Amino acid sequence: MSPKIRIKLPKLTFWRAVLLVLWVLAAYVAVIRFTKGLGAVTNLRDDFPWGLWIGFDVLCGVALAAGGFTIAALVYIFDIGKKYHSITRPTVLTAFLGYLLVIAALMFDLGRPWNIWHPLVMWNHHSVMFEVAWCVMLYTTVLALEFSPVVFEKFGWHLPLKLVRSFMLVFVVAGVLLSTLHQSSLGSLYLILPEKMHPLWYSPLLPVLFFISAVGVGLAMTIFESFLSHRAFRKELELDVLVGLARGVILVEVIYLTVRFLDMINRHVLGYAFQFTREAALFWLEILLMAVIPIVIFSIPKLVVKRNWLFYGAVANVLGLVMNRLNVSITSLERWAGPYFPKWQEIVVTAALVATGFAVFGWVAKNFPIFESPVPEEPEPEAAGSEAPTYA
Amino acid sequence: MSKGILVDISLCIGCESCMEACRQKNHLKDTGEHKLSPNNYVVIENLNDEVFYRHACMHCEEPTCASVCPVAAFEKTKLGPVIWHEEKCIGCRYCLQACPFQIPTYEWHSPNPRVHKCNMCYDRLVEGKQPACTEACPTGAIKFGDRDALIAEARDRIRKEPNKYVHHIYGLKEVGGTSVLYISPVSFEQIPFLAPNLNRDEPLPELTWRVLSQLPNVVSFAGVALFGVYWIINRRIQLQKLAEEQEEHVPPEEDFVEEIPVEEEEGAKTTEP
Amino acid sequence: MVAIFVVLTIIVFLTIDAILQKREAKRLALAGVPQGAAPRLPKVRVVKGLFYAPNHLWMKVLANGQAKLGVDDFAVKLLGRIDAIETVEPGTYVKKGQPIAWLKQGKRRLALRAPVSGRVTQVNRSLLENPEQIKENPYTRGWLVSIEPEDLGETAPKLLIAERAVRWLRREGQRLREFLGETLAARPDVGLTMADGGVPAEGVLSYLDDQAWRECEARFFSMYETE
Repeated sequence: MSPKIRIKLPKLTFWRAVLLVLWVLAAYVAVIRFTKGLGAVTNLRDDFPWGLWIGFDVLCGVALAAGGFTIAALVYIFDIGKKYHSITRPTVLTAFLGYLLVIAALMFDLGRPWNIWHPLVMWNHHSVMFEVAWCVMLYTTVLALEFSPVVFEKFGWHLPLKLVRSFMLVFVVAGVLLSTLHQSSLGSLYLILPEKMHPLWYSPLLPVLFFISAVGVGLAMTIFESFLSHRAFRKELELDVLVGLARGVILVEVIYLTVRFLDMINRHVLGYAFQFTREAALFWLEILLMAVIPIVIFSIPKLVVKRNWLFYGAVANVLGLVMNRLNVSITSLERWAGPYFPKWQEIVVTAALVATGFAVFGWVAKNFPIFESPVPEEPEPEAAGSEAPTYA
Repeated sequence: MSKGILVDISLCIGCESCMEACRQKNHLKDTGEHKLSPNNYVVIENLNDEVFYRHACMHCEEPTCASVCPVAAFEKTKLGPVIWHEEKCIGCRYCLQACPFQIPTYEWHSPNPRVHKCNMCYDRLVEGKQPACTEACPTGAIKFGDRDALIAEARDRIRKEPNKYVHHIYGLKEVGGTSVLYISPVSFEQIPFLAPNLNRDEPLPELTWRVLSQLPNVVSFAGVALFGVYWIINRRIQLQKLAEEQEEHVPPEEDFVEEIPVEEEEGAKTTEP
Repeated sequence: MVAIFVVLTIIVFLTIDAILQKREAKRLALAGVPQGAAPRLPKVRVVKGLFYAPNHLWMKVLANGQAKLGVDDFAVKLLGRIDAIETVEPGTYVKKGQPIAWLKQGKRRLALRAPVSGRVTQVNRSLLENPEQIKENPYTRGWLVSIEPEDLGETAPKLLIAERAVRWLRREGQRLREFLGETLAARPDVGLTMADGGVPAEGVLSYLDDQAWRECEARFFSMYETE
């Protein structure tokens, strides 16, 4: 039973074909981008310097990876019960891949990606971006360490396994702290645009709102992901686990709605939501998808125990979060800077990165024991086979 | 001594000599386009056919660009100008996003892009000279000098001709003060790039610093809280386990193998001899 | 607009995926592969007072020195469906390692090899007529044959009984999990249920191809073949 990684020429399925096409296109875009500059492949301009790559790949990417720290905190620190152990590994893997993809997207988006290491040595502690850069670097490392036992187990490396395990709590606490910091910091990035952003989205509470919604979507993404794994890998759906998470989503989203609307009332900007504008429409769609629909679905006892409805609720929350991040980073600025819509090249790169994420997840899920609960710390004392009868 | 530029909109005739001087000094191409770009560090905008105003870097006292840059590529010099260090830049463009006056511009079509903006001819200032644009201005609409002296002069001009000027020095307090000051015969509300931050006296970096400065507190507080919660919960679990063990030995929850009782033979009997 | 565009794109992709999954499910259903996540393997029953041979036969030694042989619950659960059972005729002399009975599923046969040598005295006719009975309780009504063993003294100590049998069965469960994971990783229809470390399913052998069936037979039911 020596563990081995299978390398076989895979069958060409629909999604693999899509992936292949996206890779080819993305490679082409990469060549153009690194020879002719960002302007050749994006619709970015001086007054719209951050587009789809930041708005979706980075902001949504980081938020959707929030399951990693939410679940880790719940399982390891708040110890909310053994049943959730089975979902820690897939969520940590998703988070890890999510962050790698964010970094990959930055390699496209940064004007001088070869300087990406500069924040390590050139410090500016006044900059939110500086803090985000450090948190992302550290947290990616922490995620790698949190996930490393899976690899060590697979190859039977006991020493590093023991070592990593003995520090696991430290990693988890560090991970939770780092996530809290930069999930909220991504909101803080926009604090400095009080005049440019639409009042429906600009708020001094942006960091708080980003953090709360990240926690919520962390839970929803875990439901979403379990469902997809269930379909793709025929993995059993642990409904009791997912229903527990759905309850968590209700709680978080209720808090979110409260904070968001109280803040809007206090700042006297709620009126903007009732004007007949594009912004108001997008605002309500966002609120509906992110909070209202999931709360309603998950609060109806008959629906929450049905897998399909669980899935719809989670998808609504995920879509709502995506809308929120894009509204903050793009919609809210369009009033001031004029409309922006990504070029196809931007879309292709984003799609290729997301598709790659799915592909890598599938590969790891096939070859590493990620759907198992972690092996108990102390293996059974007797060596396997010691009691097997002799057949001689 | 911090230097500055006083822009008197009432004196500007829109001759664009400053733009030409700037291009020559910085070796920029005249592309014919009339907006801030890597080839235009200063632009004279035409509000209506009588009023012209200068659009260029304000050289904030507390520059937003310098605050947001993750690698500190922007520097507010003691002399006043805010300058950009190419070798540090990673190209994140947060400066473009954050600048309250929308000043920095980007080489969108270069594989090794640079950020461009007016640096108040910092090299000339170091040599004790004045910027190329103020030197070229034929009417004195832009005047270089010590910032404090320029403020006094601006006040003086407004006092002397109170009917001509709006009674406000833009940049005295806006966004925490800027090295470039404006006085104007028309309301600043009408000048697009100045209007949004009119009378916003708080430096923008304060908005993020208010949050960032809390980080050490958040980290230490949350860190202690997390370990604390872990300790408490685990202690409780330990105690619970201990209590359970004393009560009775609980069999493992799930076992692959289940023992079943066996009722005595009911199938065919084996023949006994 | 970007927000709407992105959200719509995600919805479109999810819909395409849902449609593809549904078509694939239909295809598999046509091919006769059971659908959905296979159920967890129900607990494997064990009776502590029986001897267990490593090829999943149990043996009950009677006071007169005769022994009853049957197949254990592990094998029954693994097969899931048993269409017919065959045994050797009474009076046949079998040597240790020779087949003594066969469990049939469609065209496939699983040979059960004797853990002891001796003459078969009786076979469970009612079971042969009604093979489904074995599922109910393989340890009582589900017995297969009676045998008059001639080397019991020597072989019995090598069989497993009581707590050793329980531990051994647990390990067999683990081994099965590994086997399914390894053998089936390449099979997208059934395989993935197991390859990801999921729990072995009841009756998994019933939807494996012939090659996997043979492999499984070799690993779990052929301990005495070489003797």
